[in-house]
Amino acid sequence: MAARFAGLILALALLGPAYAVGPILGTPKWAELSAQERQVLAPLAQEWDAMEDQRKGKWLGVAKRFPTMTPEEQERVQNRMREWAKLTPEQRAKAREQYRAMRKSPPEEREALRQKWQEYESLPAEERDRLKEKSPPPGSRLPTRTPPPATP
Amino acid sequence: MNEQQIALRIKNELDLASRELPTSVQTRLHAARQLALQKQVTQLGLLSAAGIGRVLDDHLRSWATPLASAVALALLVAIGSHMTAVQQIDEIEELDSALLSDDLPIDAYLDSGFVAWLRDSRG
Repeated sequence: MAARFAGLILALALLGPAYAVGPILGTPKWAELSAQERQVLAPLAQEWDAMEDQRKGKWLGVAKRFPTMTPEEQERVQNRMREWAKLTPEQRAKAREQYRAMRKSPPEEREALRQKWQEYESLPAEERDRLKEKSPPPGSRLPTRTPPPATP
Repeated sequence: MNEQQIALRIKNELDLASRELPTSVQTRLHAARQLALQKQVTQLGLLSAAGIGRVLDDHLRSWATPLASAVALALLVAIGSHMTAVQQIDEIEELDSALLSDDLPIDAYLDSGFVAWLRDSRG
């Protein structure tokens, strides 16, 4: 009796979190989304119903933020949705980590980064491959310019 | 003559006397005896049911406090996990929204060669 009782409590404790998150996030099918959500998430229509609950929840959050973005940003988000959804979880984690590091750069450097990316893309393929081989280990921070020391 | 002997003698006298009673009286006595026996059985049954109830009540009382504590604990764990999950999803929502709307393409954040090239060009 005691063992069965203890088992019940353990099951409650373990299953509790799953039940707590599940019903609140819900698992809306594509047809159950609002017209606005379907319009924003249109690039994901094909794969939506097969998507995990947590990813659906994340995309619904992105759709909620969508109206606050500029038209240019909205266009970028929709153009990149499918590309992002096709990445592996490891690739997504890597991109987020790199983005976090780059986001800390000051605004003037952010502008320079865009130009740098264009320059990097124009490098010969062999040169880019060589750079990939000597890339810093995962988790290392993006190099940022250090301000010159203050003169007395 | 002791007490037990007196009781036995009275019983024998009553047995002998009862055989000489009229049939109608014997029938009424028999009916009264059956009725008394029936009531006794009912009372015993009630007592027995009350006993089972008491036992169940005692058991439930002994389990009620730990059960309530365990359910409260499970609820707390569930709420805590839920809050953490919601917080993590909020964080990822914000990050992904910013990353996808960023002026640099996704490839720039995936290309490890780009980071090395930036390092070289700044070094």
